[in-house]
Amino acid sequence: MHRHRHLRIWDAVHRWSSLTCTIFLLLLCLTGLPLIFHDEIGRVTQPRIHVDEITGNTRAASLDRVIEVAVSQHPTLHPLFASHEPHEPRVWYVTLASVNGDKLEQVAVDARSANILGKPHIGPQGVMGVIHSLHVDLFAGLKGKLFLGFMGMLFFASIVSGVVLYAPFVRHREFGAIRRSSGARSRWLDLHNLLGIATLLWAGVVAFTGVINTTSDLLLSQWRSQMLSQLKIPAETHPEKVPAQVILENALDHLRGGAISFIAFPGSSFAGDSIWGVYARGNSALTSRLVRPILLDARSGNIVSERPLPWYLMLLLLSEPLHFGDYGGLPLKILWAALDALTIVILVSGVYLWVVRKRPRRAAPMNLRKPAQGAA
Amino acid sequence: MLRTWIIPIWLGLMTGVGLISALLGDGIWDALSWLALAVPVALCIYYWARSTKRPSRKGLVNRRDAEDRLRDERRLRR
Repeated sequence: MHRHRHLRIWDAVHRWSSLTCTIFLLLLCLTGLPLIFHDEIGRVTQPRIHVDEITGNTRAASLDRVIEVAVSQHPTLHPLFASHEPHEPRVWYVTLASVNGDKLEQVAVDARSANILGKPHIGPQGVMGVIHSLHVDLFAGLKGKLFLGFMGMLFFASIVSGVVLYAPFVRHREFGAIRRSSGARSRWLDLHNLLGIATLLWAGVVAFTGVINTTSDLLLSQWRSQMLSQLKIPAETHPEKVPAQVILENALDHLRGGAISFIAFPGSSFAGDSIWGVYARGNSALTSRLVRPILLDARSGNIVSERPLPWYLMLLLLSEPLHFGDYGGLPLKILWAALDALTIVILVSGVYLWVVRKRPRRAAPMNLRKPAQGAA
Repeated sequence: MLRTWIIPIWLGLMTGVGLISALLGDGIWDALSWLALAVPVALCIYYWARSTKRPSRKGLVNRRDAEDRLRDERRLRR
């Protein structure tokens, strides 16, 4: 009966890990559904950035001029990043922030004429903003993120234990056989098993990458402090003497192929206090996700490091597309939504199966009471 | 044992191909990913839809269920 006890333990793991995280997983699945399409929704609700075709002089404007134009729109803020969308080097998106980081603004500037093209909103707005917060941090910042990460770990445990329980439950039956005439509970148990095993790998990957994403703040600050300590450059705040354009040109000289993904200004989270970070992306589908950092001294403009990102940041960069499902066009997003909806069915049917479970424990005390009464 | 796992393993492979191929490239790689990931989704919908139909009049499904139940009961008595 060793095997039997084994299964009872797995059964308990599956039951309690699932029940603990179900309500939050349900929230994550429901809020995740619209977030899958946030690009498409944003395209409808946000004004499009229109880039004019310039004939004749198409030389790039100096990056310093671009920054100057962006700052002139928000004089109280300071620039953090300047970035390009993939395959659109004609537009610089300059992100600016207040000193305490509460206020974030973005200005789209034409990279050739330095004309302002628009002021896109940063992150989801309005209803989508609420949905985003419910999905990411429950309006509780890092604590909320890590809490949801813990719920994701419980979900992962329930997936693993569910796989262990799958075989003993479906033994002797054809794959996908769903009992139709043995009552609703049997039918939903079979459906729960079928949908669970069919979406297993997808749910496992999305749960795992979701947990990784909740630790992004921690991973980033870990890398930042590690990188800065290894550079052995005193972390004192100096007025930047070297113009941004020189930094950009020095980095570009070093880039063989590839394009600029974004430039992190000294003091921002992807750079040091007196270090610029220039991040290059590759041209292939995979390497366009895995950016390569080039770090430059703000006082001399020299390259101080070209080391690739550590494995845990690579893992984080890969976890984003594998969680969002945004790397294979609209059809992939629709499949992502379908799998998300199936997961909702699994969660709800799991709760149902627990609510209408057979209750042997309730019967046991009654049986025990009988002989006790008889003895009295 | 193998019979129980052969379709789940195949579904896992399909999902894996679907998740990875769109990362590797665009165009044909994306299309491969759509086809592969559509397999588990289509299978879920197919079996679910099949289960919502009324049991057939010939009693084939009923008989199979009854056999299942008998087997379970026998196993419990043992």
